[in-house]
Amino acid sequence: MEKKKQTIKQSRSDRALRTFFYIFIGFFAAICLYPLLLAVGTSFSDEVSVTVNGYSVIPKKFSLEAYKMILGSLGKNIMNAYCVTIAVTVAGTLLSVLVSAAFAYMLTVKEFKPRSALNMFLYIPMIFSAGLLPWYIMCTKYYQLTDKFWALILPCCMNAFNVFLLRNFFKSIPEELAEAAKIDGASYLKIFGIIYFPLAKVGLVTVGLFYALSYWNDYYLALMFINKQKLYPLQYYLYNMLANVQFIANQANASLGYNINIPLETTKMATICVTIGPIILLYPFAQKYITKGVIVGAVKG
Amino acid sequence: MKKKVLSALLTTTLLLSLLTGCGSDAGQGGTSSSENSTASESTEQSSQQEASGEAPAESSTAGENGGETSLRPDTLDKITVVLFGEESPRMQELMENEFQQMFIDEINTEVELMYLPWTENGAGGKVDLMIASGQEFDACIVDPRWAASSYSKGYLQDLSDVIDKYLPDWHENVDPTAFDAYRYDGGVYAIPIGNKPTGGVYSTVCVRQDIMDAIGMTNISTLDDLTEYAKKAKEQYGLYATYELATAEYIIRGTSDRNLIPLCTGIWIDQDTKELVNFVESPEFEAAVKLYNDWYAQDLIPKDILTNTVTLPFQANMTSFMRGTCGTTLIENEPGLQSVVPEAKTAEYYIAPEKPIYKKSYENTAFQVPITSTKADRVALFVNLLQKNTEMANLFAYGVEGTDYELIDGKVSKINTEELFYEWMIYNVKISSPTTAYTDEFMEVYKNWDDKALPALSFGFNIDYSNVQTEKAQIDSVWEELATPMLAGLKDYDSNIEELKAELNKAGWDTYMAEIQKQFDAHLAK
Amino acid sequence: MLVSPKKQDSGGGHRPGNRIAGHFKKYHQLWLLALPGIILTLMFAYIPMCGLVIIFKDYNFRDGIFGSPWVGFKNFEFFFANFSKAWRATSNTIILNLCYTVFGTAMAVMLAVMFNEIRHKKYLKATQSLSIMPYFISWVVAGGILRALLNYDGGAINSLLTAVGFERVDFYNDPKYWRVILTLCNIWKGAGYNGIIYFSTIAGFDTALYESAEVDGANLWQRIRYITIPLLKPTIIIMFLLSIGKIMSGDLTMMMSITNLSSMLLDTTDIIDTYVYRSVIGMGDFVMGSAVGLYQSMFGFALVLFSNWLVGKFDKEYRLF
Repeated sequence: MEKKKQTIKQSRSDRALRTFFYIFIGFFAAICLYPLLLAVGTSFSDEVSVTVNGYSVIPKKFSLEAYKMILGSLGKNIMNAYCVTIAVTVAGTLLSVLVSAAFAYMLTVKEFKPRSALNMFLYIPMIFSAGLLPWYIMCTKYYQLTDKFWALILPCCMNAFNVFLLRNFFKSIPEELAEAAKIDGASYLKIFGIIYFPLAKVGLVTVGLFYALSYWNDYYLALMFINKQKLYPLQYYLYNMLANVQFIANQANASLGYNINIPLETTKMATICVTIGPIILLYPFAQKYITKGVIVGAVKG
Repeated sequence: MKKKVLSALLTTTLLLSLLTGCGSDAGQGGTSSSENSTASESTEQSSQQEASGEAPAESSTAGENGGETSLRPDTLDKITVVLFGEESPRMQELMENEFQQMFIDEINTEVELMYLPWTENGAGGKVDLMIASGQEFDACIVDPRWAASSYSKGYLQDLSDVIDKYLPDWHENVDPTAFDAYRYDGGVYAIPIGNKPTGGVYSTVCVRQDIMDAIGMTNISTLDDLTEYAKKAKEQYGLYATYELATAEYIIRGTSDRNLIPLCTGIWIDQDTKELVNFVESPEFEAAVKLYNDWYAQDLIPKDILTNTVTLPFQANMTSFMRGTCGTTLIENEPGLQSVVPEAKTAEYYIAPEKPIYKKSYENTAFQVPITSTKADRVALFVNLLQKNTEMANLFAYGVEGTDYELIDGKVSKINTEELFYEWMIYNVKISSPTTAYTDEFMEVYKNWDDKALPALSFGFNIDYSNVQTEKAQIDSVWEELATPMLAGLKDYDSNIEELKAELNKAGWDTYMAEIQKQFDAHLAK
Repeated sequence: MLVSPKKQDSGGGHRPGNRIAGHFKKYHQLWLLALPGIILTLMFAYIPMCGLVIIFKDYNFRDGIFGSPWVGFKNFEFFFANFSKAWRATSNTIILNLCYTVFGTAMAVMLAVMFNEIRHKKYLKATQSLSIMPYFISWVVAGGILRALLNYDGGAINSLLTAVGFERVDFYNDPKYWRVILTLCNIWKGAGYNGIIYFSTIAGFDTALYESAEVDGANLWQRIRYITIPLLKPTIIIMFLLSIGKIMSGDLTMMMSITNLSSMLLDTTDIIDTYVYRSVIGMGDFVMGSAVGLYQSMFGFALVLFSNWLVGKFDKEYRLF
């Protein structure tokens, strides 16, 4: 395809437009990159110089204090924390994608009458939330999620937004395929398995990416349900540490000798650098699957 | 293709079974937790054996203690105490060995600590959720504001009986008026810990002594002095005056002859006439706002006074003064400031030094006991132990002598810098050894700081807002929107005061004031 | 399985027992597929939702959620008592959310379309990865960076202005700039991330359409205008419908981090969430907060029902439900 495109001579206006696209995107990427560089630069700075001079891309005074703080708080738990986070992300993403895809597929079967009611069923929790207290009581008292691995996955396993997104991707799959399969006597389960699941790869990867990011970044479920250190995910450590640094830095009275040397700003920046790592690894991997022509090929073949 | 479907289905069923498996996990959870407890019991036993087998010298001291207090319960029990922040590795080590040992020896109680992030410290956080959902724990640190909210929700236990019985040493070492901050309807709902001077806290202004010397000023005792100092500091050093609002107590202190103590949004107490003062209508408010307007016009107030979030601008060499805290600037501000300006020196001055100073119930840390706990007596014993004597207070705050710290001339020089039980929580001016940062002269002044302080009328007066919730909510929001910009000097007095008064009235000021007046009268009657 | 009989009613019919059996015979696999999702949604959304009764009660622990005394609409009072402020908060929320949605979607679609035309794989990878980075920068940090840009003293923009001979602008004390600033911040943070949705939707389009258009002599702009954008329409509509429901909810953390809830800026930045926060936080009362939450949800829900109906007028397939 690439070659075909190149053989057709681009008109001048096309080239101008495309050049504009390149420039615009470059500009936008630069706007996104700059704060990141600021974060990296600041995270390697000395706290005092940051408080006095503000953020800077190139550290005015080099210091590893922020990273020491993070390592200090993770300590020997760092491997364990990473394992928990990776396990949660992998298991959670797989489970979420499966559950969501199954639900979304059901929502696309036109002859299935209850689907409009189920659409509504799915949508309402997006707007109405139960409030923290009842939700917490149900989860701890009745579902017994305290200190369970699944507590880090189940409560946010079904994300209505992602299900609607998947439904939208499924809708773009030509109906004729499903019709044809049905005439051949395929069951719904089979149609889902051999047509929708593989053909909506782009959608599944996209939604999977969103799920993975949300599992990777989540500290809240751990905060709510996990008391055992063994089950602390990485983000929870970082959250706890930041809250701790913030507290120490804010505590003006009553404290004994706390002062602006507490690496507050630099630690905030360092946590960004630590958490953004996976996306640099994960995203290009997902990008590989978001490519053109999957569906077309299937229809023709 | 078929294989793929099959494997997909297999995973689905697998995950489904996991899902349902989780639902039936309740029973398993129960057994595993009971396993845990038996496991911990066995460690207890072994540690007890160690204790008895270890040092005969120690057992003799334990015997002495046993003679003094027969409060040590006969049975071993366990309490769970919630603290905030991170458990340092050294703390973990000590809680498994020396500290735990001490708890078992002294009060026959095993203490388990549970750490939560600092964000959960306060109303509506995880601790509240834990109480509301009936999760078991026995104590958690608390401050007066949070306790008031928890009390009104019915989360807290009345500890009056326990306090009389189980705090023998505490009563000697801690100021009993500290209870007043946690007293509601005759009951006491938390056990305070630590003892630090609070007299005249925030009534002093902390300034840069090096700048004072350079510009040839020797004293600051009036707001005019302060203005002169601030102007010169701005001219010669480019420093703004402050990021604090005009409600700062040292400012109000200098605006009139009255002795006003802040109480709640928009209400101050006149200490002498024992009247509530509607702050917005007072001459002090007018004077303070006009002063700040002047400062703003002279560019002494930073433009981002309401948006900047720098935590300690004074230490960052951005402002020339800030509120003082009982002379502790030497320890609190100077080291930080000196890392920015090496030659910096700081000092605290009273504005209107002839006026009396007052004790207010700020920053009083205490232990709350949730209504779900059955072990309030053990919690009291635990708090009592932390404040028992110099030895204990030092042990829990600084660690083991020789390993974690050394005593040099009665002062603590730390070897271990990791946090144990919070120093700021345990520090008791009567018993704790000060660190080497405290000079002797400072300690002399500091120890007796409270002697000349009078109890403020607001002390121990805990307002119950439940009758005026709606009014309070609205007044807070009006205050934030209209009064704050005036108190920051950004809006002038004359053209904004009428709107502020009108909006406060509309928000239900009269009802609010009347309710608080009623409660205040009842408080005075006691 | 317990839920299914209820859902059956929509089918209707003269012999219900038979109908249900028939329905299940035909569709049991679909129900099976949907079951995990239904159970999870019930467990973590609908069942806790019963606790919403709390907002009509004077909640206290001793009596529990269901035993506490009823107080009617008392928990809403503080919000509506000052009507002009409640109205300002409501309209600010709606205006800001509309700005976010309209401009945010426009930017996300633009980015996706442009990414689609990038022919250099490496450039695409690098720029696309970078464009989603802001999503990972917390508002707290973003607020700090913004301050470095907008500050009166030494802020980058004001330094630039003085350098070219203009007056400095006191951004942080003048509410009129803030709708624009907040919208830009929101676009910066979310456009790249939301762009992924549109980008992967475009990736699913039939390339044959483009090829034949090219053969017919359509230029790049025409192909975007007449093929890509119309094909993206269903996705844009779905995204729009999904965000309409949240038109009354705001991001408290974002406001706090960016404006520090400065009193000077409230005219344009006081949204419902910040108004509630400012009023109620002193008492640590989450019931009052939940009460206003219900107001936000009801309003959002009504709007969604309306727009869903409106969309259905044009094309039923575009509807959310």
